Amino acid sequence: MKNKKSILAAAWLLVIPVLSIRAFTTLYPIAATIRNSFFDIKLLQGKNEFCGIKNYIFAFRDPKVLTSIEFTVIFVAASMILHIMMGVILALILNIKFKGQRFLRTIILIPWAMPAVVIGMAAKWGFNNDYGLINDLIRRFINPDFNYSWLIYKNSARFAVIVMDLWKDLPFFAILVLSGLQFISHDIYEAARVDGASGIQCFTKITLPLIAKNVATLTIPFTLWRLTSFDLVYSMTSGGPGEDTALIAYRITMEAFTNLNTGYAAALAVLLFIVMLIFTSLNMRLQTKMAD
Amino acid sequence: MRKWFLWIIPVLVVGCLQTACGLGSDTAEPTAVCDKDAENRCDETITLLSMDASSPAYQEFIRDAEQMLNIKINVREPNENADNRHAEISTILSSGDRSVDVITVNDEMMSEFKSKGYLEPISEETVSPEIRGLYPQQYLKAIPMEGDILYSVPFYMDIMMFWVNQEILDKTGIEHINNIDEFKHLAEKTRSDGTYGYGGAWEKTYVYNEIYQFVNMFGGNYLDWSDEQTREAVKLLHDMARNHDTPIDQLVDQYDQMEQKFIEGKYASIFMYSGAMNFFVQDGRYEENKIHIVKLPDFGAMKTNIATWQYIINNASDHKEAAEKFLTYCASAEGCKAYSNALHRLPARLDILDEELQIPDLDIMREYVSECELEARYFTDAPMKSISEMGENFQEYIMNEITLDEFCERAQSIVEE
Repeated sequence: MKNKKSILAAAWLLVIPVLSIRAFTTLYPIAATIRNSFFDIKLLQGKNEFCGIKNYIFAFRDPKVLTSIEFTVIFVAASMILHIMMGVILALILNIKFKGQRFLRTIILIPWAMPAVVIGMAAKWGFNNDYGLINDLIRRFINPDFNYSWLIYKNSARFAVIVMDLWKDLPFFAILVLSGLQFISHDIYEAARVDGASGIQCFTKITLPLIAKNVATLTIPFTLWRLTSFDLVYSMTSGGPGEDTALIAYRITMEAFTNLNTGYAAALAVLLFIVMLIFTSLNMRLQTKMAD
Repeated sequence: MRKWFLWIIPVLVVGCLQTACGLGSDTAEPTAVCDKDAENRCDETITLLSMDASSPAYQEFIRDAEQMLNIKINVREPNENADNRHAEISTILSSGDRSVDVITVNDEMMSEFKSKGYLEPISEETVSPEIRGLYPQQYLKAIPMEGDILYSVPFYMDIMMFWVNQEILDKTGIEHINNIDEFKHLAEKTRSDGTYGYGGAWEKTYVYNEIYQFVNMFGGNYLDWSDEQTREAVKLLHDMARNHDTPIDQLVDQYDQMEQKFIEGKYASIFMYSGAMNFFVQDGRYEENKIHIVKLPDFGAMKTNIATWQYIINNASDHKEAAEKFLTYCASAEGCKAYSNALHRLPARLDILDEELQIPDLDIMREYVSECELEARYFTDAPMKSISEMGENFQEYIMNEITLDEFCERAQSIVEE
């Protein structure tokens, strides 16, 4: 009994440093952010006054934030739908046995391994009308007179941001779906084929149901990453044209570090935190239902 | 034995963490220009956060200053990104951080910091009234001073100038651009094959400079958006973009892209600060028959933007005396010349401009100083926010999402905020 207690004490001693670091780097910032969201904090003016829920009310009246929310919803929805659809297709392609399969599986991850800021800066040039790779390809293969500035029009700039996000993270999503695909036994497919199932039927009746849970699980982190994504927009469009590609995380960063409006930025961060909590709990419920 | 072993693990873990966190070890020292022998002779040490820190020529300048002033100067580099640098310096000042004594700041930062009580006032012993009289006076009152108190010492001046690509001018047969009609004529003549008479950097945080410059040249007032000349200036930019006299693509361009396009012969002219000279010279493009600066065209008023980088003393500094000594040197004729010659940049003191300086095409720059009114840009209390908002407002106007009246109405509320 005594021995058990000392083991437990030692275990606590071992985890206390980790817990302390976690508390300092996670719990304290969350608590401080929630506290700050109720204050009007202007760093340079030395202003730090309690303002109740004023920051929260203003957030829903601020046209910049409303534009950011609009684009964030479009960005997350479009990006996730395309991630799931194209990710599954790409995973199926990578699951086919062919020469060079291993090589393809390896190189496909290169965009994911690159920092988003680097990709954003490259994309800024890539979508440039004069120097960009995109227009150059269009001029070479489709229309030699093509001229279009992708990043100066609202819809094309938004489209470009979503495309770059997909280009970066889709391979990683596909590789994770592929890992789920590899757990499906070949015997099931063989049995289905013996029963006369077509390729499409095998896909819809076997593959999809069996990877659905895996895909649903992957959706949580990938959606949360999209909700907190800021670096791609920061380096690619700076939120422009106007504020049309300013994701909510980008707006929070600008309020906090450019406008030094700490209290308001904290309120926006808390709202984003709540949205993320709601999404995560809904997704987890869905997974529990699927498991049942 | 086992019990002893169980207790030793946490001790080891804590020990490892201590080592990893650097507790008990010396913290990293900033780059010290002063060598060890000199350190022994130095009276005092100051830490300088300078945007030039990585330049070998600047390090040489600091080394000379150290020997002359008998102080040791540790030079630290701030963040390279403008927004992050602004936030970094704001945090240092507002948190009462004593690790930095002197900081280099631009007009945007100065406008934000000077009235907040984080800067040490510059005394008349540090910079005498005679020396203060040698800087551009309108500028001095607008940016480094708050009321009668001076808070910074400008050390490097940038003047907005008119740059042309002579090869394009020669092709079109245009000999000079002295007024608005000739400027418009240039735009019409060069409107072909992806070449434009005028190009700019209209990204939302950069376009502020060009809006200000055009308002100045039209004789308008940036603070009064009901003024006809002010409105006319912005309307010209809008109409040029809509008529394809200047590319609409430049709404995403910063100076990097603009300079690249200018070098490649896509623009016949640009408005750009004098500091770009080193870039074009190093690239081998600055020549009378290639890229060069010409006189400012007269659109109604010979006014041009100026901006400077300035030294400030952190109010929380423990080494104010040594910091003041350094600032006195930087404001002196000797210090001004030494900096200008080391970095090949225009000094902030106008009298030094008349001396022999190692700056290419200095004569045309002297002409600007003698013929143009040098205008400090206006900044609100939250400069970065208002600059960005003005840029967004301008972009919406260029894209025809709002009318000129709506643009001016919003611009007025931005400058009044």
